[in-house]
Amino acid sequence: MMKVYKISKDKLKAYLSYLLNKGYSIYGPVKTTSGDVIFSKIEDPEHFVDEKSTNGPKSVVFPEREIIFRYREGKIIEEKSDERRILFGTRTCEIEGFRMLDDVLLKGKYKDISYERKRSNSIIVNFACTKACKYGFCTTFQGPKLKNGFSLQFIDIGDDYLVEAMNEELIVPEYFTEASEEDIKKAEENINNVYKEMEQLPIKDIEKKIKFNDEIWNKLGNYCINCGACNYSCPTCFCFDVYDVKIGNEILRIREWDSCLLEGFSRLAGFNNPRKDNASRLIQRFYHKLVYHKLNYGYYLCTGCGRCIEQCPVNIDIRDVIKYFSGGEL
Amino acid sequence: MGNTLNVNLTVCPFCSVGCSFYVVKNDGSYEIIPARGSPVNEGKLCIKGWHALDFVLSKDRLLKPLIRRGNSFIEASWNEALDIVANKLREIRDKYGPDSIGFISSAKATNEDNYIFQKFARVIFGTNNVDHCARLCHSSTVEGLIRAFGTGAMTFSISDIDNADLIFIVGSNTTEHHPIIGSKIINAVKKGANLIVIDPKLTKIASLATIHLQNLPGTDIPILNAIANILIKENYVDWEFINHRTEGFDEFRKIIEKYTPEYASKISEVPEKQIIEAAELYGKSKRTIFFYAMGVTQHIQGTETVEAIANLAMLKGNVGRESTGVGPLRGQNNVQGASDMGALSDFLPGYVRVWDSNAKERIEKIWNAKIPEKPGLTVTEMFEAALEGRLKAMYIIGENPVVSDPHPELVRKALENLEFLVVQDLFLTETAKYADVILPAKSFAEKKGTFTSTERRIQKVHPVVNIEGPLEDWKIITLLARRLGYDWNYEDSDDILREINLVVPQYAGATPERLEEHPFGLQWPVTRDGKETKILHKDRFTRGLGKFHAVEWNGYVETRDSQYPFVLTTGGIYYHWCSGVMTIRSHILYREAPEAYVEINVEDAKLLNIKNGQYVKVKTKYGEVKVKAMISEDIKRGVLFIPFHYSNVPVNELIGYHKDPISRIPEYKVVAARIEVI
Ligand code: SF4
Ligand code: SF4
Ligand code: SF4
Repeated sequence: MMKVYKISKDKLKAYLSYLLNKGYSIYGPVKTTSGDVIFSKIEDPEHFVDEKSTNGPKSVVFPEREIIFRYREGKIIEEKSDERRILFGTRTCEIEGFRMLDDVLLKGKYKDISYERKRSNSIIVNFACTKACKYGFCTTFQGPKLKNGFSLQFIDIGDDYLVEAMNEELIVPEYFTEASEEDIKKAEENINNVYKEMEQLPIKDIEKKIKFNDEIWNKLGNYCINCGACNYSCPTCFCFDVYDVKIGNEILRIREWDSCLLEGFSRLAGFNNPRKDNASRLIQRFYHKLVYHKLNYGYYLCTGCGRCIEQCPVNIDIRDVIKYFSGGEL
Repeated sequence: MGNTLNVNLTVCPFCSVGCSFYVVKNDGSYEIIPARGSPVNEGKLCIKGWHALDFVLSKDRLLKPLIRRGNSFIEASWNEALDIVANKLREIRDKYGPDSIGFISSAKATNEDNYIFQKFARVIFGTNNVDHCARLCHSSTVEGLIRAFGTGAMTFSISDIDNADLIFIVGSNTTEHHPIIGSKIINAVKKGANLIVIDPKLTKIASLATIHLQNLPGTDIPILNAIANILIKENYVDWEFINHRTEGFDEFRKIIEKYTPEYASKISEVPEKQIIEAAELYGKSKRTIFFYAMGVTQHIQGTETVEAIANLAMLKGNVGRESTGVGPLRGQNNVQGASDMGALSDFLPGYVRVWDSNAKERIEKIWNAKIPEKPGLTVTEMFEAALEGRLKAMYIIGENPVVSDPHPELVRKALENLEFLVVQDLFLTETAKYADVILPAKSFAEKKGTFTSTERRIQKVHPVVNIEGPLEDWKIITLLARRLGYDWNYEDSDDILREINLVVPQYAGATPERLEEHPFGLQWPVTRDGKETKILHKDRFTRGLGKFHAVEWNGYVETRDSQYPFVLTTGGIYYHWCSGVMTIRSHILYREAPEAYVEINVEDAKLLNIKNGQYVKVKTKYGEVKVKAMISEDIKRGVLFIPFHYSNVPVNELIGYHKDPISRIPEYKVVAARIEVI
């Protein structure tokens, strides 16, 4: 059963110190002196900020590149990860992405052991947003607050955070007090602000409205510079490539993020390619997100985090695509 | 609270745009995070940037010094290796004189590395034989823009793109070579800016152009002159600017009279009408930005083409104002900085000519040494001298001339001819294989220092990856200097930067502390009190008045004939970098473009009965290569294109011996060729 507490903002850093002292590795959003917010290991609680980071937590459980196993003298040696870690200060659009990754990587016929290894020892302390972020459109999907999938969820209510606890693992009486009805109401109101501030997209039935043969794909394809950012930054993209590297008498099997906007992604033997041009690759990306995944899993492969919009050098915008196929203009 | 998180910040090692990103380490792996705060990349990166650590973490990195033993190498300690290098270099200098050694510096290394290396050559060895790859890519920019404006660098800032109403690109495949600048141009075009592109290929950026002038390689001057001619005739020029801020106009005007659209069209094969339309579009523009790259500079008339662009800009007062100017797109991430630092055989730090004894005195005082007046050998001349036996030893940092310089077969012979060769690199490159001693260097990601981007932005990098074994370039040089009896006591790169602040006026205020406060850099010139410069030549050109140059097209040095009916041109592609050393070590980048090809127009291929993917021979007077054919509609008829990244298709064996007489840049872009089915 979920319990509700609150913690004073003044105590947040001390609480983080406490967790660090307990031996957890803590990953979360930190602000650099240059003003950017990046999701990284927190060595000093002072660096933590309650803000959305550029990258989010995906690479902690699903790194850009990782060794899956080593092969030496006829034996396969699995990689280990015994770090006990807390992902502290994640956003709902990021953890909702974890849920989608779980469906694909853990719940099918085969389990992705590398992912499981890192995912299973990551405790989630989510921060539900009370302000709309710049490019986000999460209210079109799950909204800014998680229903489950966390250990704790913090919601800003002024001088305190309301804290929803799925379990008592990280609850320490020294820092947490009981929350009142009023606090809970205040939290709800604050979450509602995001719904008020954000534009809701006409997502309903988009899988039926979107079209393969449409000029929009060529138009966007002419701009796309194949940087891969829309995939790399996405909390839900899970495609990777696998290859081996030999070092001395050891062979490493490595996997690395891939991008469906790259020509080599769907290239076949003999350099044939069913997705030769940018237009067909953009169709793949948007169809996967808005059509195929919905057919296979019952939901769109997008959490509305807006990172692909923010990081696309030529401003290709999924919101525009959704609106366009719902009768809007480009 | 002391926040030290800038320690995660670094700058992309590939092109000269200068994109910033953070690197964080998670439980055994590294992650690259584009910097939102950077005014340059604003939270974006191109595919190379996203893969900038792949080569750093490659299993092929050299970790220990190597010493030649017969035909192979053995590992050695730093002490052993440095002793050998110091003793051998001293011996050769004492025996054959200072000019018997050549030093090639690196546009991939930091300003501090470059500064120390040229000082090492000049002060300890007493020679100006120090040069770097700018000679091969943008020496014509340095010459051309210094002659026209007084400063050899981009006159405006990348952010100026946003508000230009016309972007005029000559010889730059911008979205592939400077992708983030390319993306800003795309965004400007989307918002309504006009775009003119002069390029023999229908590149992505050309496909978005309002007007694409698809010319024969090497015929930019007639087109640029013809446009100037129309502007004057139609009175589209800014007389006020011409009269008050420039000189040389009358002579220029006289020369270009004969460049009618008809005449230019005949030479360039661009329809007359298009040239006139381009002139009108430019004539009506209020704020034009010019970009150019190696399609302009790597020509026998490279310097003059740069001058022709400068002429065109000055005609309409498009220099020194917001959202106007002339922008060379430099190649390597620090080619601007390496040039600023005087890693050039004819320039001291800050572009002081080696023979200018008055200006030189100031630097001599700081260095407490006399600097020779005689300009040194350029990169290409060094190999010629080595072939002839005049050069006895070379010290090469982070360059791979066996692949990247003209005539690899001669470069190889030259290297074999040396008594002693030191190569300092990350990898056992094709060039390193000829070395007597190989010294393992740290990459950009493992060191502190500064890089200077194409918009003159000096940015500080921090060590974001730790690899045991290699040392910083400046550190290695300092250790050698001490062995040679000089008490160089630089503790870290900041000490060197402080000396640069004294020596190079443009860098006066770019102190280590200030660059920490401005994590995304300052644009030079930076005054002593820390004021940076977004736009050069605002009220006055660096040289006083802007100078019109009466440049003429000299005709082809290599004419096509029945034997060699094609023009072969070379260039880079999006996924690779230079001689490929860094990018072939990235799984994804390599996968995207695993092999070389020759691009040929579909009609030409039909006539010759060449099929897509078939192996063909491309021959010139100088050599031949076997390569796969790629049939395309994007390349002009009569033109062939081969990328230069692949050491198994050494396209630089095909190019001629011609050089721009002013900047001594080799002609890489035009050579008569034929193609044979095999
Ligand atoms: S998209 Fe929603 S959940 Fe994600 S950061 Fe923005 S407001 Fe928060
Ligand atoms: S982020 Fe934009 S430019 Fe980059 S691959 Fe995706 S759509 Fe193309
Ligand atoms: S545009 Fe240039 S500097 Fe920026 S990420 Fe790409 S290669 Fe690096």
